[in-house]
Amino acid sequence: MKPKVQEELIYLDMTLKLPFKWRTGETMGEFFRELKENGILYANQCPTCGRAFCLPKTVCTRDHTRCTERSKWIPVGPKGTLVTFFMAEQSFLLPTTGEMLKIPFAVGIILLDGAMVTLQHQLEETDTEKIKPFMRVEAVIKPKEERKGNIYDIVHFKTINE
Amino acid sequence: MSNRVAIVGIGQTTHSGRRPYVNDGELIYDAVTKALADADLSINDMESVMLGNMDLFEGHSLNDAMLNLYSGAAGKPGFKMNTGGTVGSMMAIQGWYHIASGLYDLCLVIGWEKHDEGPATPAISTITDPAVDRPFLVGAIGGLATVSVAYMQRSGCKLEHAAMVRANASQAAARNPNAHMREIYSVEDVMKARMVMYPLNLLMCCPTSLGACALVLASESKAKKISKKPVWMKDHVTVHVEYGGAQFGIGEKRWTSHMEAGAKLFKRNNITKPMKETQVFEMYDPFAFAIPMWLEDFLICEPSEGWKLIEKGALKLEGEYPVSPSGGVLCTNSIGDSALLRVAEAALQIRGDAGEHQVTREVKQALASGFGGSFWSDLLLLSKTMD
Amino acid sequence: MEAVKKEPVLFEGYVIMPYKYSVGSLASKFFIKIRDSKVLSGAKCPKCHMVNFPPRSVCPKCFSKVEELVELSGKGKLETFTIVHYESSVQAVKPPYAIGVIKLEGADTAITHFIGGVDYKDIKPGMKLEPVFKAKRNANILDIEYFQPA
Repeated sequence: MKPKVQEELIYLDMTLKLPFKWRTGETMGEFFRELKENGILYANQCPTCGRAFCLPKTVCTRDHTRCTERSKWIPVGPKGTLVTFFMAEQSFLLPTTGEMLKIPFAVGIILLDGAMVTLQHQLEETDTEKIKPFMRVEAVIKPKEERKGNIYDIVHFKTINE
Repeated sequence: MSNRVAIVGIGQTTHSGRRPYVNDGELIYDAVTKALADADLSINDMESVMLGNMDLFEGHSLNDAMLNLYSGAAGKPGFKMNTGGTVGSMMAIQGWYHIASGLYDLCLVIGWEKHDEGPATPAISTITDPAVDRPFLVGAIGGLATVSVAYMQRSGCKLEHAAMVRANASQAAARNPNAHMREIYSVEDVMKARMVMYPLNLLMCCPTSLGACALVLASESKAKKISKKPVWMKDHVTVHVEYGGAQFGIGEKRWTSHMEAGAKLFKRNNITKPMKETQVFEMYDPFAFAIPMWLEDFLICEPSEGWKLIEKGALKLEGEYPVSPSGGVLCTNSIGDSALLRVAEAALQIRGDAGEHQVTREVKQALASGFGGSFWSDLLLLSKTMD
Repeated sequence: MEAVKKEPVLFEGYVIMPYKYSVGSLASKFFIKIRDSKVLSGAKCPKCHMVNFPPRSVCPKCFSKVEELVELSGKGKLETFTIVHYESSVQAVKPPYAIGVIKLEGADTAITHFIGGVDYKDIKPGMKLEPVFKAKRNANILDIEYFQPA
């Protein structure tokens, strides 16, 4: 199918823009309420296998047990260990907001103290020389009056010396 | 007992990073006509046609509406599927269901992707939770880097072993005319590549490719009549894992869905020594640690043995147990056809038609796997003989 | 046992994705003919002679590969139409506007395009139409501004 001579080829440049709504459900609603009102990160616990999830899950995907019992919630972090990270070097349209990504943008996969599954969030440090896997990090949480009950209530994770 | 199913036609396009002189449909048509020619059949012989690729990767959804013309599905039953990285292997498995049910004797399955035309990472981000995961755009690499760290910690595997895997893959891809990245890299070249997400550097990640693959599947009675070299789809297993993304626990010791897939498939087929009873494995290997880690997780070798096999050179094309002799996903990743290519390449190895990348071992049984998307595992067992 | 009984949080956002679409070799020639010579063409199947407009590189009737473009007069017949009043962010022009299904002379398939140059109350199925081209053309289907009564 390869053309023998160089020919002009037409292509179209387009942008898809679809608005959507998303409800977090009660469990994540409670997580965000705690974050907004008390600035505390919570993990919930599966009554069957005992695993602690941060971010909390309504149902344990392994046992299919409901994990909504509030007394089983445990505060985790705000300190944790960086497992791995990446650095965005190129800006592009953010799929959720339509704004261009502000670079440099470093994202870490973090295991919060007390949690058994990792979460991802932005890192304050953007010098790749200074980011080391397994270094200690801590969530920087916005002051109460600025918190809105979403994931951006955590500004980023900063490096700590421990 | 269900009908037995054989692969009687195999077709694939060449793979590359850009191919502006064809549109999506023309790309598919290329693979379809090759598979039909290989089976010596026409599109009118096909009783059902199925199409797989990733929704939104080219900015389209439900693209079968546009593509039925080129796939040959018009006037026939079939459907379009998107299960992420496992699209291709799920296509082969869905084709198997169609024929095993006894409803159809001939089925065409197609996987494709035109990766240069859309934004893969924003599209992958739409599989994750918009409230917590999507803003950070971790895409596929987050989970894979996380499990690679866990694997290094528990097994003693080093970065150098992953570099050896990529260097081996480049040697294999150089011998496969349909592969995308065919440059040969040494272990030192791979080690020098830019780090993308620790421990995965640029060369340890799969590329973004475009291409298509098609298979013609036939029932036992039909296959025996029309094919000189049918390859039998002896068995297959699909296992789902819990929500992936980067939330995959670092504390998880093993890739449980692969383990369950391996355990089921080997038990059902009385396989006790997979590296003896199957002679080649076309693995869905989207990152360099996948080969050592998943050989262990599929229960093909003992825990912490995977990287030692690499050190010994056992997994090379001429080795004791060749893995991904086509160069694998590490060298060619047009997602919607990546896992179908694994099945196609394993079948070519059984037929002895893999050309320059034919393994030196005689192949009677082969494994092919699929992985991805919602963190599923597909494992297929192909065989030269029916029983 | 106290279960969580709190309001879920509502997020509103967009899925925004830029993408490209290569039209392929044959369709490139079709769009270039419109841009450079204001000529419409169809793809003619070498085997069953079906003419597809807009062109397709595979014949929908007999699955043959099609590589030949034949020039069409551009004149055609209106099969059906509607007037659009509803406004949305994805429209190419501002409502109200008329769109119709138009079958060109010499073609076996029809195209959807705008109808203009006519009072909407005078649009009738079966009426003869011809294309009006834009002065500045970019090799896409909107190089035809609309079809008007011939």
